[in-house]
Amino acid sequence: MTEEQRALRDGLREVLAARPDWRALEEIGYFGVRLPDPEGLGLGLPEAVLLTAEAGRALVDGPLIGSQLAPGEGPVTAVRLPEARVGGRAEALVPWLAKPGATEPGATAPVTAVPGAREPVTAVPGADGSVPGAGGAQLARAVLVLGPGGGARLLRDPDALPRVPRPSVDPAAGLSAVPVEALRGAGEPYPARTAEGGGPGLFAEAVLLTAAYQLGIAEWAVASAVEYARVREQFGRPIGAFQAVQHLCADLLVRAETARAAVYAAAVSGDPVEIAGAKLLADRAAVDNARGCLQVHGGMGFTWEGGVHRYLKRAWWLRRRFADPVGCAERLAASLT
Amino acid sequence: MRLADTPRQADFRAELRAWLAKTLPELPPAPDPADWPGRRAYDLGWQRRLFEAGYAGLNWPRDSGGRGLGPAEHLVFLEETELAGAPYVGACFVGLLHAGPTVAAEGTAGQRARWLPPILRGEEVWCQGFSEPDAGSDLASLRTRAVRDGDAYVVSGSKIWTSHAEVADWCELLVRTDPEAPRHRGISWLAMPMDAPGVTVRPLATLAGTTEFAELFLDEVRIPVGNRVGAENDGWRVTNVTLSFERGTAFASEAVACRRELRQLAALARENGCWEDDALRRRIGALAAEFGALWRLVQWNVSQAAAGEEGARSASAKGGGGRREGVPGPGGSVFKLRFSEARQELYELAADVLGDDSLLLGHPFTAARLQGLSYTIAAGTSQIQRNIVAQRILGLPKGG
Ligand SMILES: Cc1cc2nc3c(=O)[nH]c(=O)nc-3n(C[C@H](O)[C@H](O)[C@H](O)COP(=O)(O)OP(=O)(O)OC[C@H]3O[C@@H](n4cnc5c(N)ncnc54)[C@H](O)[C@@H]3O)c2cc1C
Repeated sequence: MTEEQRALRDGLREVLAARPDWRALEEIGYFGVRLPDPEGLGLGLPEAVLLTAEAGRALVDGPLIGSQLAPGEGPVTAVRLPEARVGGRAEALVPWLAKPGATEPGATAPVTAVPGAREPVTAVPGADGSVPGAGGAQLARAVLVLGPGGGARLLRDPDALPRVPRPSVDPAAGLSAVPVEALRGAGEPYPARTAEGGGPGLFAEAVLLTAAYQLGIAEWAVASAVEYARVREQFGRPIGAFQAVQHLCADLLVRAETARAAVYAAAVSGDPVEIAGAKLLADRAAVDNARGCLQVHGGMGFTWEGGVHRYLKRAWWLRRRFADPVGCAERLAASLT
Repeated sequence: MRLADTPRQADFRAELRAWLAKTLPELPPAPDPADWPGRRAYDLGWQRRLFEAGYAGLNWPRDSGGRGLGPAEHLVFLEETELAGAPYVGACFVGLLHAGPTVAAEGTAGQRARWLPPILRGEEVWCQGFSEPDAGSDLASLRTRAVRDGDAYVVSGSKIWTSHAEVADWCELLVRTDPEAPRHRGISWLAMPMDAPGVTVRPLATLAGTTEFAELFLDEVRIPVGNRVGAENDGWRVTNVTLSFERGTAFASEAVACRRELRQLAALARENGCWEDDALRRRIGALAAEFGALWRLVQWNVSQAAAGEEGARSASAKGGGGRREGVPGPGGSVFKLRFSEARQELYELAADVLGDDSLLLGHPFTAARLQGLSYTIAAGTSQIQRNIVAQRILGLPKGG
């Protein structure tokens, strides 16, 4: 990591510590990281990955990945048409992050002031419709349908999609069922970065950024579990003094560090197989670390107020976005021939 | 361990199965999980039906209103009700599986007559006030104070994670009656009426979004001395009597529930095509072995307990089966440890079978997955269970 990258990451970490929301990301230029100066920061995919991991650490709500993905081309929400893993279903679920700001008290308008690409954009894995969260939160302003081959189509009027809102396990992330046919071939071709253009391609970037967010969740879980283990006392000593708790925490760190190595390397190499590995490991680190962190918190972890569950639920949710563990593992296995 | 029913048990099973087939379709729809009064009414209603049909307290002594049958019949009952999809004990859990057996074993004749029949008849709900904010895994460090004042204890302190407190009539309460005594010695077991002046219940939301448990604040609550079960300062032993009494059976129905849920999952996998996925199908198969074995382990534990109450006692006198720290005895720990983790594995597997549907809050497997996160925490965490297995079964030295 270069000095500049470190400074960028630390800067965002500080900003998000005070205000873990969309506007804070906007402030630091997250949505224009890869746009050239003076519009954006003129940085690359590795920087986008570093910043997205920070967003995960702070559990920032909102359609970050899609918004990050489609710079320069107007408001976009990215949706992938899934190749249904087994069998074909007429309907599929599309996760849709509630528009940023929608959950803030007093926020009436969505972030409309953000021009062009910096508008809310959602990236969706393994499914095919779209809709916002409960209570009729606004849709992102467009849907970007990503094909696995790298091609993309833009739907400028997602409100026109037939959709049935569904209650999502992650309270901050909405879900809807949308008929597959409604998305297939809909919208206009979108000039997305493709793999031929040198980089990993839009779709793989979505996978990588999702992995980065998961890495952030995994890192948060380490910090949170260790912090609690230091202060919570039972049997007259901090629970962190018990080897069982020490081993739990050590395992959290090992998973997070392994995922970090994979995610950072994939961000630099842009190699699709490395990206698949990064997603696989980051998903595992996020889900298992949030789970371990909850266990370290005991009864407190099982409460709503304790808040650990929000990370676990987001990790479950993101694990199914763009590339699930089975898809990743198959990809990696195929690379060994 | 007997594996086949005796003719008497086979008759009992057939009769119960027929009764369930007739009765279950008549049940009202299950209430919303967030509707506690509704759940109380539903759970008590089911218990009342069981009572009227003669299926309440099968293994409770006759003088406590039970049927005085053996543990084998009780296991048949648990197996058949679970397999038929009958309601879970729910709000009746503490009364039927915890407080009731304690009163039956340690209470006076008057206490048994007062508290046991309403539990069996589905009239009163109990909750368990053991844990405190600073006394979770280390239950023996509890601080809620009970000071004797004439014929009453005056109790002050707070309890936490008290399941069903919102709708309970009684609370089995552990209090410190002698602050000078060694930690395990100065504790007493009291039955506290939840409507006593000075009791405040503050519901706590769980990560599933419902209020499954609550905080209790006790401000100079007067509890008659006659509500104490067992001798003063002997509450730790009284508690352990319950826990040992119940080990292997309090969670027995859960082992059957796992098998039922696994079959549901297999059916789902066949429907949505996941059955063709070799890796997934094999994980389902492996769990089938595990849940089968867990049920056998329950049968084993129960038959051991039934056959060797004396043997178990002498083993414990020699230090082999002694119990401390307010958690189930070692045999139960093996079951509890593996059950809670295996059932969580089932729900992770279900999430992979469901795919995106696993993100739907309304799906039964999603609800179970969320609720299931508590299995490795409630009733003694998995870390504590491992300590017990290592130290009390394997005899390894206590460490940090
Ligand atoms: C859903 C639910 C329902 C419950 N219902 C009730 C109820 O009705 N009545 C009641 O009284 N209680 C109830 N409980 C409380 C439950 O018994 C406690 O949560 C549990 O014993 C753990 O205590 P704690 O939450 O204080 O965690 P802590 O004891 O603070 O534990 C925190 C972490 O430290 C670890 N740890 C602690 N000590 C050790 C050690 N010596 N060695 C290794 N690791 C250790 C634990 O494993 C855990 O990972 C309920 C809990 C839940 C989650």
